[in-house]
Amino acid sequence: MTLTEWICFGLCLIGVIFMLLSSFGLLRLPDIYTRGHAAGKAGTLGIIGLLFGVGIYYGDILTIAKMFALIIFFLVTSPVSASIVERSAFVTEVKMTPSSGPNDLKGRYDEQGELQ
Amino acid sequence: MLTLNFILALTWMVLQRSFSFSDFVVGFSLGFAVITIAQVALREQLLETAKFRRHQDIGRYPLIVWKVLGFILFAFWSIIKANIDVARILLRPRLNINPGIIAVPLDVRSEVGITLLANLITLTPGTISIDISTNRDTLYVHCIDIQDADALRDDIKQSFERRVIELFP
Repeated sequence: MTLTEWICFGLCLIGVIFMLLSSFGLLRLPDIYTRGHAAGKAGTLGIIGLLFGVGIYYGDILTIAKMFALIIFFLVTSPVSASIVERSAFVTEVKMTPSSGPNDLKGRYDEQGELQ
Repeated sequence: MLTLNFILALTWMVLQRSFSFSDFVVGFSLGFAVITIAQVALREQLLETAKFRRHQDIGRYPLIVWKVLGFILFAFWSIIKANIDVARILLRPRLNINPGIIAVPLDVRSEVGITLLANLITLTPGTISIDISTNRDTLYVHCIDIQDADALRDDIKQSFERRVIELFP
């Protein structure tokens, strides 16, 4: 194997490991809020690693540009979807797992759905 | 808008790797469809950008480029750190996490700045921004493991908000 092949092998391996961890976290964490962390974040590095690996494997400038575009689109959209999922869970009153952490958002929505 | 449509058509042709006339027509009509769908959002965005440009003088261009580059590197580094942190929490043999929601008072005023900050918070260690108050001065953030709420709040304000304010006040 050449050096480039080793590099993209390593990158793809990192990507796949983080994807695996992300789905592992999805099973292991207790409620929807904490699961959002596993789904929305451990996945980002997975995607970045995989796409970089593929880009380097093909090696031409156009594929690498496409991969960069994909990564940027992913980084822009994935946090938005994570926020929306958490927000709708909170608005529809999905229960949080009991913990001693603070909950500053509790009772801050008024009848019109406006947030104080 | 017409410029945007041409840019979209050109992007389509580059990504298709063929520069024939029919590809241009397909790219142009697809771009037109996208612009039609996104019309409302685009209008607001353009107004916001115009407002933002008025506050900025052109002489600072090189400085801003360096700041943007630094910001991208910082964001990338935080994302890697975030992933490793969350992975470490997931692999603890006993899952004794302490999740909760904290309110973070904001100093950023521009809409672009707030969006950027909220996205950055969501992408970084154990925090997801949930919602922002209607008058745009408090951001509510869900954290997966709170040891010290005040320290966390300070950390968000010092490391993220300071950098965002430099770019978009």
